[in-house]
Parts: sequence; C-alpha cells; structure tokens
Amino acid sequence: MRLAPGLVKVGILLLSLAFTLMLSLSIASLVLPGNLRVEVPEEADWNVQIVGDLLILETDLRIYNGADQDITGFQIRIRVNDSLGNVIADQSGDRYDLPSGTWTDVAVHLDLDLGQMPAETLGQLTFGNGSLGVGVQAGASYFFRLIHVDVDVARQVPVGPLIHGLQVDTAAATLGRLGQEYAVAVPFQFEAEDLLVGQEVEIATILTNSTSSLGGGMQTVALGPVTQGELLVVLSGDAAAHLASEEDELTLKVTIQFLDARMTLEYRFHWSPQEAAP
Amino acid sequence: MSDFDLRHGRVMDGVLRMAPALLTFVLVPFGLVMLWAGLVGSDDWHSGPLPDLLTYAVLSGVMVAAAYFFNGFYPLGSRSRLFFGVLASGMAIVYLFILFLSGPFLAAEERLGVQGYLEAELLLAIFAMWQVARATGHACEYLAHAETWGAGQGRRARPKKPPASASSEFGLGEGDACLGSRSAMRAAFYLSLAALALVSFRLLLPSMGSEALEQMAFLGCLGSMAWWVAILSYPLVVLAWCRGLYPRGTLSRLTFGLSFCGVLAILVWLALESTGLAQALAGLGVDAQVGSITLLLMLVLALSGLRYLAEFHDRRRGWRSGQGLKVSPAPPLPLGRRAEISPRTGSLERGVRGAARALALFLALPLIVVVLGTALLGAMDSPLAAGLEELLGKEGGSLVVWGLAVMALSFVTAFYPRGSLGRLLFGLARALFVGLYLWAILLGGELEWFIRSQGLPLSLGPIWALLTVFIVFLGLFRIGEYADHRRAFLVSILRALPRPPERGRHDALADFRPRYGRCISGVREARKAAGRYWVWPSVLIMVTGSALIALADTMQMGHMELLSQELERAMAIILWLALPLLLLTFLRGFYPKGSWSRLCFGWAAAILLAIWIWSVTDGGQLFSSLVVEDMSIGVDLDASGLMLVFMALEMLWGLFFTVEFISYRKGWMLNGYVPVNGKRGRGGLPRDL
Repeated sequence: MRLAPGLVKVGILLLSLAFTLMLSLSIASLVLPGNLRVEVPEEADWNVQIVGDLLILETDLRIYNGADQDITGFQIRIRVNDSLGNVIADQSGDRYDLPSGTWTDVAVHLDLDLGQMPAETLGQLTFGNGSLGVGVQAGASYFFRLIHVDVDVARQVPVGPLIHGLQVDTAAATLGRLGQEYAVAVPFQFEAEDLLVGQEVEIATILTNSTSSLGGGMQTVALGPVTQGELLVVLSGDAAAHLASEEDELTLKVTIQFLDARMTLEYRFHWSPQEAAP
Repeated sequence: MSDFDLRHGRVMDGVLRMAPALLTFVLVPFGLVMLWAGLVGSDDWHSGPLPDLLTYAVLSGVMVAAAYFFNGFYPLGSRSRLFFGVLASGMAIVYLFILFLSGPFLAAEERLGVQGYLEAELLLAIFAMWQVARATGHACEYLAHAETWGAGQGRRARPKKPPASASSEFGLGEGDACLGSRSAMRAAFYLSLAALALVSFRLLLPSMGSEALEQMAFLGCLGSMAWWVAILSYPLVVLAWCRGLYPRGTLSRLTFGLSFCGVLAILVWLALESTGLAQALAGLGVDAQVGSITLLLMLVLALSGLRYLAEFHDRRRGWRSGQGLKVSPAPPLPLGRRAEISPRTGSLERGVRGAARALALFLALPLIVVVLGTALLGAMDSPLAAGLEELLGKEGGSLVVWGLAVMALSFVTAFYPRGSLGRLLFGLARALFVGLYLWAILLGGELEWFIRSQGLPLSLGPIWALLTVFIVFLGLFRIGEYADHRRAFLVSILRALPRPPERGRHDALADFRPRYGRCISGVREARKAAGRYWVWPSVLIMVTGSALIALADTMQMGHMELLSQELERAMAIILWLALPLLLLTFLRGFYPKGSWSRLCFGWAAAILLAIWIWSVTDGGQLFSSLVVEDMSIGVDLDASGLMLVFMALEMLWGLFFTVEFISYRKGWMLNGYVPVNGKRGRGGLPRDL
C-alpha cells in the first residue's frame, strides 16, 4: 500500500510553515509602530475624589488594536506599596476584549482606603515628603489565546506633602473675648493639594508659658486650596488676666490632624500686653 | 480501451503534478504582483488594472494547472498524457503572452509608475522558451514510454533500431531524448531565474527614489544584462538539450558540453564586461572589481569544462565497448592493497566535479561576497563601513590560501572510489582543512577584535568550537561512507565476496540488525539535526546574549541577570539533549524505509524533539526584568499553548514515519531487505553486499 509519504511530508512542512508564517505575521502586525496605541488621559482627566476614607481615582484609557487579530482578556492591575513595603492597594480591573482594528475604552479604577493606611505612611504623605511604589501590570492574551503576556512597570512615585506651607503669625496674636471666656487668636494659613480640598482637618492648640499651661483649643477646618483663619486658644480667667497685664515668653503648640495623620509644630514668641488689647 | 479513459488515471499523481503548476502559475504571480505593488507603494486596489491582472492570473493559472493535473493523472506513455502535457505548455505560453503583452499588465506598469522597468517582451521570451523546453520534455517522455504502455494495451511493438556505428556519435537516434529534455529544462529554468532576478532588481530602483543620470545608466546596464541572458539562453538551451541527449563517453557529449560552457563563459563576459557594469556602478559610487568576479566565474566554468574532458576520458572506453566497437585492452586494475590508493582506481570526472564544487563553495562564492562587500562598504561614508571594508580586504588573502587547499583535497577525495582507504584518508584531511579554513575566517584575522571594538562583547572562540561540530560530521560522513561501501569496493578489487542473501526467518526484531543500515544516511540526518537543534540555536543564543549585554550597557538599563540566566539555562538544556538527539536521528536515518527500526527511532526522535521544544523554551514561559533609571520593567510571557502546538507539529513527523513504514514495508521485504528506491552502491551493486 502506497500512502504517498512525500505528500504527507509536504503537508506537514506546509502546515508548519503556514502556522509559523501566520504567527510571525500576526506578531509583526501587533508590534509594528502605530498598530498598538494607548491614549492616556491628561492629569486633568483623572477623576479623583475622596468618599469617607476612600480615595478613588478613575479614568478611561483608549486603546487601539491595529493588529490583525483580537486581543483578548486585557486587564490592568494596579498595586500601591508604601516605602515600608506595606501593600496599600492591589486591585485588578475588568477584563476587556480589544477587537482588531478598533478603539476600545478601558476603565481604570483605583480605591485607596486612607483609613487602613498606616498612620506613619499617611503622615509622611500628608505633611512630609513621602513616596509610594506604584506598579501597573497590563496583561492580555493574543493569537487564539495561545500567548499571554504580562508587562509590569513599577516605580517609586514621590507624593506629598498634601498639606504644606503652614504659617502661624504669632506677632499678630490678640487677646479677646470669646463668649463668656477669653481667648488668644493667632492668624494662620496653609495650603492643601487639590486632592484634599473639601476635606476637614482638626487643629488642636495648646498655649504654655515657662511655668504652666495657659489654655488650649480644638477646631475643625474645611480645607481649601489656601486655608486661612485664626487659631483660637481658650484661656482660663487667671491666664487671661496674666496676659492682659504682663509680658511673658509663650509657647504655642499646634497639632493638625487629618484622619490618623498628625503634625505638631511649636512656636515660641514674646507676648506684650499692649500688643493685644482686650 | 481509449488512452483518454479515466480509469487509467491516478488522482494522486495528478494532484502531485498539479501542485507545482498551481504554485508557479497562480500563487507566485499573485505574490509577485502584491509584492510589486507593495514595493512601489500602490494604494489603489479597488480600481484600475491590478485587480484585472490578478483575476486574469488566477483564472488562467487555474486552467493551466488543470491541464497539468490531467497530464499527471494519465500514465506514462499514453497519448492522453502527451496531449495534456503539450496542451498545458501551450496554454502556459498563451497565458504568458496575454499576461505580459496585454493591456492590464502595461496599464498596471503605467499606473505604478514603473513603465519600461519591466522588460515584458524579455520575460515573455524567456518563459516561453522554458515552456517550449517543457513541451519537448513531454514529447520525449511519450517516446520513451510509449512502447511499454502500448505493450500493456496489446499494441504491436515498433521494430528495434539498428546498432550504432562509430560514425554515428552525433546521430540523434543515439541519445536519450528524455535526458536531453531534462537537461534543457534545467538550463531554461536557471536562465529564466537569472533574467527574472535582473528584471526584479530593476524594479527596485524606482522605489529607491531619484532618477539620476547615474541611476538610469545602471538601469540600462541591468536591462542589457537581462537581454544578453535572453538572447543567449536560446543557444544555451539547445546546447543543454544536445549535451543531455548523448551518453557519457561520446564525442558528441564532449563537444556540446564544452560548447555549453563556452557559450556560458561568453554570456558571463558579455553580461559583466561589455555592458559597462563597472562604470555604471562607479557612477553610483560603488567601486566594484567586476573584472575579479568575471575571472572567478570563468574559473568555475573552466573547471566545469574540464569536467567534460575528464568524463570523456573516464567513460570513452566503456561506451565504445558497450557499442561493440573495437577498444584497446585496458590496463589491468591493481588488485590487493595497492588498489586502495592507486590512481587507476580513481575517476577524474568525479575528482573534477568535487573540485568544481569546492571552488564554487570555498573560493568563488566567498570571494564574490568579499569583492561586492568591500565595494558596497567603500561607497558608505561611515567608520564602521570603513573598518568592515578593511577587514574584508584582509580576509580575502586567507580565503584564497585555505580555499585552494580545500579545493585540492576535494579533488583527491572525490577522485578515489567510495570504500577505498585513499578516499577515507584524504576525506578526513579535507575535513581538517575545512576546519582550518573556518578558523582562518573566524579567528585567524581581526574579526573578533573588530566585533569587540564595535561594542559587542562576542567571543568567536566558542562559536568556532560549535561550528567544528559540522567539521566532525564531515569526518564522520567519510567514515560512514567507508563503512557503507567498503565491501563493494573490496568485491571490485577481488578481495572479498558479495554478502550472501539473507536466509531464515525474519521477524520484526531482525529489522534492528545493523546490516540493513546505511551510515551515510544516518550521519546526514544527525548532521541536519545537529545544525537545527544544537549548533545554530546555540550560536543564536550566544549572539543574542552578547547583543543584550551590549544594549544594556549602551542604554544603561542596569542588570539583565534574569534573561542571561534564561539563556544560559537554554544553552545547558540544548547541550544535554544534543547527544541523545543526535543518536536517535542517526539511528532513524541509518535504518531503511519500511523497517520497524526506522519507525521506532523515528517516533522516538519525534518525541524527543517535542521534549526539546518544551524544555528549551521552559514550557513557553519567559520572565525577564530590567531596571531603567528608577523604573523596573518586568515581562512575563506565557506561550505554553503555542509550544504545545509546536510540539504537536513536531509529533506529526512520527505520523509521517508511520505512513512511510506502511508505504515501504512490503516493497522492502519483497526486495530482499534492500531499500526499494534507495541508492545502490557503485557499479550497480546493492548496498548491503
């Protein structure tokens, strides 16, 4: 029986050749410049909001698949770590199929639970110069799902300070009445990044002299791009009488708290009664 | 029963005949038109002449292919086969005529802005001549087999021709028309290819941009070369037909063989020297030594001419005695040990053929590359090109020295008969010199220093060591040849008796006996496998690794240890699998078609190759990471599915060996365990004697 082995040989060779050619052309069509395009929105197009303790970042990417085959199961995963190695967020987005020759909108969504963030990290980000390790992993399958590629790009992104430029004008401190009590009012000003605008911070103050505590205060301030106001230190009657009549060397301790992150600053100044008439 | 009765035919034979025609007349023109349009940048596919041209090529090509199907479908010697063969050639000529000289082609040329670049008349002339040669071939085939076919159909045989006389050496009836036609077709094919290459090269010029005077001069020069090929192809095809027609040892074959070489030499001279190619190239800034190329080609042709003289010398006596003519008694062949290296046992024809092949491979081709390379690099104004030009200039000298040594040894090796000690010893010496030739190119000059100076940390020593695998196989090939042909040679010098035919029971296990094997086939298969699965992948990995290191240094990409480790791991696996793979492929090639042994080793090799694919690629998994400034980039590739497909494709070869086993089993057994269509030993002796 002759089964034409030559024909079988040619058939196998043609099959191998056809498959290899198809694979090569398909990959070439994918990697050729301009065939795979990603439009990343400008920073302004990012939708950033804080709901409760959740910091939510959202945007839509536009991806063009100019290859001759569909890209399937495209998924973006974002990981955020702090400088101590704590995982702050690790979220995978939805899976998308990117049909050949079309643009596809891909939603990117990241929730950062600030409440779960270690206080130290949050403090660094809010008031100091911290950094976050941001890793973006994009994965997709190609060529009849026979090839799966994950590309992971990670870098340290410097973040913060979100609240900065705190200025407390102790020279303009005044003593006045606050209802039934007396209080020292000290003008202050600080700036906050857009991310925190609308959020509230608590400001605690304590005024002391060399011997004792004269008074303190606690107030909640809504953040704007530039927040300014007066720090009110409520005094006891003796303390108010003392400050009204005598000079003294005072220390004002100001603590600003945002969620669990807090920053304390001390200001020393010379108090003169004539400066602050009741 | 009529010759045209469909019951005579075999569909499979028809399909096999149709497939190349389909490729030639449908797929290749289709691909060429697409390529042409792509090269010259046509963006208009839905209107104009190109779709017409494609439609015409496909429809007419299918008709020609259909005629070829019936030509192959009907048996040899039948009138139907002749009819469809001539019809196919005729249709092909009409196809070419309309394709090249009809409106769509000319309109397409005009539309694409390349009118005049394609010499349509020239192409028609060349391809028509090729088809005429094919038609003659069909006629010759009919004449050769008509009697056998007629006898099978109960027709009366024609009277035998009278025996030849000494004066009829040039008589047309003396030769084998089929051989002549085959030789003519081969010549026509290569000449068509040369003309097509020249015309295609002309086509590339408009895509290069300017129409400077120098470029037009070069274009004209290429056109003249193509026309010389076309004009001289007619006498060349006729001479090739005559050369093939007459048997070896005749004055007629010698005359036509030498004439063929002479006309070919004239063609080379006319095409390269009289067309002003050197001046045209100089106008483009390429200072090519065309004279050296002409000289080299003339040398190859001279050696080819010498081959006919040697053939005449070797075969004259045999032909005359075969014709019953008077011959002077031949000096007795030396017997015993003297025969091993006696020049009387050798063949000048074989020696000259071996030397010509070595001249082309080890001298002419590399030197032409050197000449053209230095000319092209000289035209470029860059330090890299200047360095390469200088390097190539230095390599030329060592190429000549070592190439001449290899050529001389090739002559001596081929001169002695297979199975003789002389052939073995000189063959081994030749392998050694080929190794030295390779060493002189890679390590003897300044190639490695030059590569390193360009920032590529590539060491050529390990590459040379890998390439010596081929040299080892050259030596093994000679040893295998010696082992295979030794008994036949000893029989020819009366020092041994032919091996007695096999008697007794032959079961499946008996197929594994070494007596059925051929070392040459085994070594050949193992050499192919060594190249494909050991040497070239390793060289590729080495070069890739060096290139990656150089790239990382240049772009300051930091460490690439992961990728380097992957490459080293792949190298180690290739090395570990090389030995079993070579052993299995050797055994697969060693045993003949139709034997259980070949089937088993064929499957084992296919399975091992599938494992090779999976292991070397780590199951299609690749993880690599690199650091660029403050950013780390990791790529995790999972192509395991793809690797499974490639493994399945590799396993199909096991299926092939099964089909081959089924096809050849019966014939091999009936043939007394001698390969059915395998080559026999020299002198018509079966291989296993």
